[in-house]
Amino acid sequence: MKITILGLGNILLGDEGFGIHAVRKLKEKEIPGVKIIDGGTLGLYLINFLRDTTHLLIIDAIKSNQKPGTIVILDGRDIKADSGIRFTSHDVSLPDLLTTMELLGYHLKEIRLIGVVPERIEPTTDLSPSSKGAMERVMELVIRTVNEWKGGENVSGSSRKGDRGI
Amino acid sequence: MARLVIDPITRIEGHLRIEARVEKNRISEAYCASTMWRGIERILKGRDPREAWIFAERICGVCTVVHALASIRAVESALGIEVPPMAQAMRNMMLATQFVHDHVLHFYHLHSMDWVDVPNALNADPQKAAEIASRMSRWERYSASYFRDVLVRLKNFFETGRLGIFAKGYWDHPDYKLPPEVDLILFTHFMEALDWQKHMVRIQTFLGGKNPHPNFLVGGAPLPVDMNSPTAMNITMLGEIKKAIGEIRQFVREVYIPDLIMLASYYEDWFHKGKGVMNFLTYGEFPDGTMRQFESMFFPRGAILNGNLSRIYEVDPLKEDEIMEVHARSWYEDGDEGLHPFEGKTQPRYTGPEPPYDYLNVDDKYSWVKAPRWKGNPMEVGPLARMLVGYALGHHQIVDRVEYIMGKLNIPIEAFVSTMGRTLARGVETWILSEYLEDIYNTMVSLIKEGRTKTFNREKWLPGSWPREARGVGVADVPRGALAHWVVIKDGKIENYQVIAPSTWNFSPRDHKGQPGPVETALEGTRIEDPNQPVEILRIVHSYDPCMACAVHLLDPRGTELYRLIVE
Repeated sequence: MKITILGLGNILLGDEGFGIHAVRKLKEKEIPGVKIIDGGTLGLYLINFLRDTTHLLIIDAIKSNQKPGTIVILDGRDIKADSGIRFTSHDVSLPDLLTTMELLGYHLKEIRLIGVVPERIEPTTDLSPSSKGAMERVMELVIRTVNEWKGGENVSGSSRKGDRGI
Repeated sequence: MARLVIDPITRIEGHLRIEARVEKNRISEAYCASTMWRGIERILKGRDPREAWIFAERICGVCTVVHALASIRAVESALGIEVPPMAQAMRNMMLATQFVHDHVLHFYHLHSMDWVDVPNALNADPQKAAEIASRMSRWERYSASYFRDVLVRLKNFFETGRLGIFAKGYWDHPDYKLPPEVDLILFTHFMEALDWQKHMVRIQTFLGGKNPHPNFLVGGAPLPVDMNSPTAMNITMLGEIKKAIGEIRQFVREVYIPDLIMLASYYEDWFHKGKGVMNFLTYGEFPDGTMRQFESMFFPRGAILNGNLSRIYEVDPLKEDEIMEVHARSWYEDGDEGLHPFEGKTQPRYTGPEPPYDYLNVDDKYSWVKAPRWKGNPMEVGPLARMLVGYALGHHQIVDRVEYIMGKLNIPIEAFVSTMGRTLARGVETWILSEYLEDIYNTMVSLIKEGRTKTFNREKWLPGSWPREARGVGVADVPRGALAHWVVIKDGKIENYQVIAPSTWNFSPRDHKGQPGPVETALEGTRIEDPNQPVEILRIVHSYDPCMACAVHLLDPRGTELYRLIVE
């Protein structure tokens, strides 16, 4: 089992960078046997760092009608939406990354996303109060997910799916 | 009159948006706009100049390396810091690797889909594909079973109903001209390229100490040289780098270049479309000595006006009367008639329509991109600019490779000034740089043998050694073109910071004189076969390899309205 925690987002745009702030915090806590990556907004480039991953936990900002600071958990199937027209190499989204990995034959056993609904996306390196407020809970959820995956593997060798919302 | 809008909204806000007026299936006027303000300049104000690169590399999603490099060069230029030759070689290798990576991935993962009908590849005969591919190059993998495997994988993928990156292609457009076997070959190489990119990543991980987001250092390179240390550049690492360079060269020579030549042979009419402004600018790149010794650069510096290759103009980004940023049609205060970046303000003043809107008011201000001008002219930057300046100056490798392509396709040099020519120029440049990597490697080995292994100049590291006020420019010619960061340092902190990125040049809006930017000009006059499937616009825009959509990537799990196409 290879668990990777991937933070995504742009640190220069306030809450858009939530995933990056989160993995920076996680790197301070030592989580044995887990790879932690600051993925920025690197798109398909990230394949290079996920080749040996079996369990992928993504932390990102997420668009939603819920109020800012809300934590949304999705499983892999919900993330693989089709993408649209792209003008630039950088329009490559997370769904693009995941479907392309599938096409290349990398079969991730588990993909889960912890998303936080942003309050403000504007040029600043600081998080808003609502995103800051969600951080502690996100840390707990990350640890819980990692333990669940590790435990699932140890106990039955199978994994649980469809843990949505909290 | 029809008005055509392409506005990909794969993220939360718009980025590059094209509005085109179409009369009788022909574009009469085109407008490029970026609808999101980034404001990096303001984030850097007040910070330690030695740390500016850490923020600068996040300006862009994929071009992290190039903004970091321009940033450290800007600070070194301001403070008069010289970089040791070994560090210069490491930076050159980092950047050349980035070129190859960016160009090959741009071609296979974005641009090739404008020419390759992926669903049509399903109709291919694997045996025939193997025969065609073997005639193109001597890459050892080609066989019928190799292509059959890819075909099965593609079929299975399409059967899941999740088209992923292939969704929303204009697949039934009549201007997709490749036979199914050629579609299959190019699609196969699309997949191969995704795997092959690991070789560039490996080199960058060595040189930058970590990856993604490798490290940089004002005054040098973050990697020491020590044959006895496992964490420094040592014999093992040099061996790994040499091996990776071999893999890089082989793929470019035997896969990418033959693919480009084959593709171009089916789309010869695209040598006559998307010419653009015919003005070209490059700052030059890959210094052998210091950044001030332009003549030592592997790719020469210069400008071309009106497509005249018999006269190459000198370029100096520090001269206050050469480069101006005009805000006349951009959403900023002041600068309507142009300011040099040292005087640049970046004071946003949005006067566009309240979103959601259908059209921008293109007769007034319409973009967050400023309009940079060189001596008053809109300039194209990027591979075509570099290859034309090098060709005109008789650069040995550039002349050799450009003429090889001209011979293979039976085209004159003028044909390069086009959509297909721009795409070929990117390939020519990649080819030359994949071989130049070996030159850099040999330079490193020679420096080590001579004992010149210093990679960091600590002389002016401490702010106490700096003047009270200093200004400098970090120029870099990066995969997408001429990039410069201007910095003003005061009392040890950043006072002003301005960036002109390659896409600012290419995708600039109109200026105070009403002159359109390069891509706006390239789109004008283009025939649009079917306004509901404007593949022609994508081909022209992609040939410039735009990079402006990268700062925001917010996930939208709903998967609904992912792009908007309005035909009036």
